[in-house]
Amino acid sequence: MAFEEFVRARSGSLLRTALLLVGQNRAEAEDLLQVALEHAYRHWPKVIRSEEPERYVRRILANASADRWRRIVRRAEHAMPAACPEAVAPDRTAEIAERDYLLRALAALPPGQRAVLVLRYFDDLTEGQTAQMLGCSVGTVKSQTARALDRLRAAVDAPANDRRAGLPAAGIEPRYASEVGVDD
Amino acid sequence: MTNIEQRLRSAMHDAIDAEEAAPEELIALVKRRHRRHRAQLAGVAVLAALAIATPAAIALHTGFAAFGRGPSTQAASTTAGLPSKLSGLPMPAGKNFEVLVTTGYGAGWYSTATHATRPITGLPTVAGGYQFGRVNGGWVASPINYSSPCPVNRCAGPPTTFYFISEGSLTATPIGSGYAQNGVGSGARAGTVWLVNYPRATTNISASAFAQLVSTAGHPLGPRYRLPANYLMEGGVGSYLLLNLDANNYVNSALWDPRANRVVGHFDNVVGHSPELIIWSRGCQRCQLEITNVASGKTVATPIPGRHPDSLNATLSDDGRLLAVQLPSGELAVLNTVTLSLTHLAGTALCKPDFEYFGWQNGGHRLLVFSGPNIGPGADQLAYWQPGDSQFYVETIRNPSDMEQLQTGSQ
Repeated sequence: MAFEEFVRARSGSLLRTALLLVGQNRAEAEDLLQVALEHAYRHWPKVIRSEEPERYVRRILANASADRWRRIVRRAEHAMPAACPEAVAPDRTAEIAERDYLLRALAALPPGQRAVLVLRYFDDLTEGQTAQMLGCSVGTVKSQTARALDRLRAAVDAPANDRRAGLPAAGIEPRYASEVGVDD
Repeated sequence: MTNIEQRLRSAMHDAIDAEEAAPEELIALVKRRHRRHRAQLAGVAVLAALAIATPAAIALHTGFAAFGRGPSTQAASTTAGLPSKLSGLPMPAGKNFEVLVTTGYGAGWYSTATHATRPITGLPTVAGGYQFGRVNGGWVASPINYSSPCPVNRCAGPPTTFYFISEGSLTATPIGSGYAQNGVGSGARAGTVWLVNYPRATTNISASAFAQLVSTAGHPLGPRYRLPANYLMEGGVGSYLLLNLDANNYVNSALWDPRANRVVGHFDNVVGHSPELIIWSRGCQRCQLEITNVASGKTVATPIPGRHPDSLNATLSDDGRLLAVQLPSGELAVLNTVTLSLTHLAGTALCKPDFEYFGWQNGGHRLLVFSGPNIGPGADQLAYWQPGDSQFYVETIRNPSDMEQLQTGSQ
């Protein structure tokens, strides 16, 4: 299979995973996807000979998102959005507002925990597959999943007034460079 | 699944499922990024060469001097100053040979004399098109199917039908069905292939698969063997099977005796194999590619650097007699695996080519090189070299509207 055929067929799905991994910033997601695809393109004969290219690219995406986030934070090149950067539009339904809030809470998680949740609940990987993808143990995946879900639960259960005020909800922390939780 | 898990899953899909990529733009951007990466590597290589002065370069040149190569650009892994196009003699007028190309949803043979493409029949129309792999004596085509019953393609999925196209044939014939990804491997004898299947579509590919040697017409030639777990099919070598370890780095291969059900050897960084040979490298800084003959059990070192097997493009002729390889300088060379003589193909080192594919055709009697720009205007080049030729023959070709991609067997 040619590299171009693969990108034409799978770039949409890969972009969606990348979007969730970087907190729905489209420019960052596209950049992350380019990094992962360039890596695959560089080794394409080997990738296509010995592995499913999609699995290869997704693994790079998941790991590069954590690594990338560390580098971005360290360099302080990008202004970090607050966990709840803006109020929910008042004319939206409560359901959509909660969805947006949940996704913001997801974006505010440490990158390792975010990657675990995206792989587990968006890409539908098992705990073992997620561990293999991220290069960590199944135990780490389990603990990271539990911690991340606790934080999300606390966030969505926070009083609605806190959300509208744009305050960080309980359990949601800013993204810290030192808090990754996933081995590269 | 708990409430929060369900809500998270719904939220992610509701918000993201409508997002689409722009694949053509993405391909162009990835290739641009790749060219920048290569240019950066070249710059680093020059600086490193200056910093460490001459000992390593001298050692490298000495190694090649025995094969008739004088000091040149070999040690400096840079493409600066090199031409952007292949150079050689013009292809003789009327010189006709045919190369396999993908056309729309099928395949055909492109003639260098008439510039026309003759379609290959026997390949049913499928939405995803076909992928092609080189096997001993011809090509195997299999439908591209991205759907999988398991996430991230970790399970076997439904079997797919493989088709065989012998060199120059206008008809594809069904071989049989097998696992879509690593479901077929070249047999050690011409006209044979190994087909790989799993017990169920939902079986994880790390579980044991079944492999059976069949003729390219689909007739079984032996029993079904159960492969060791965690290994994927690469191909037949001698009376053995070369298997890839299904692990994160994918650099370890094993030579497995199906009759005795035991591994008889391990090889790192395999870059090619033939009916009798395995080309591999230990992958260390000063390592060279090595050739192991599984019939004799002997291993010899080649003059080709093997320190970065990941970036080493190499392909063996069907009979394993000739190894075409892209050296660190970018130049193509052909190694005679019997005499270990290395023939450098002048005019093949290009300055940051957008792509340069090469592969053996006609059994191993012709090395085909295809080069051209990936994006932007510019003609493609088709070139060939045959054993005994002192020169390279090059032709500029227009890309027919119905030709999507030329197959060299090395991609």
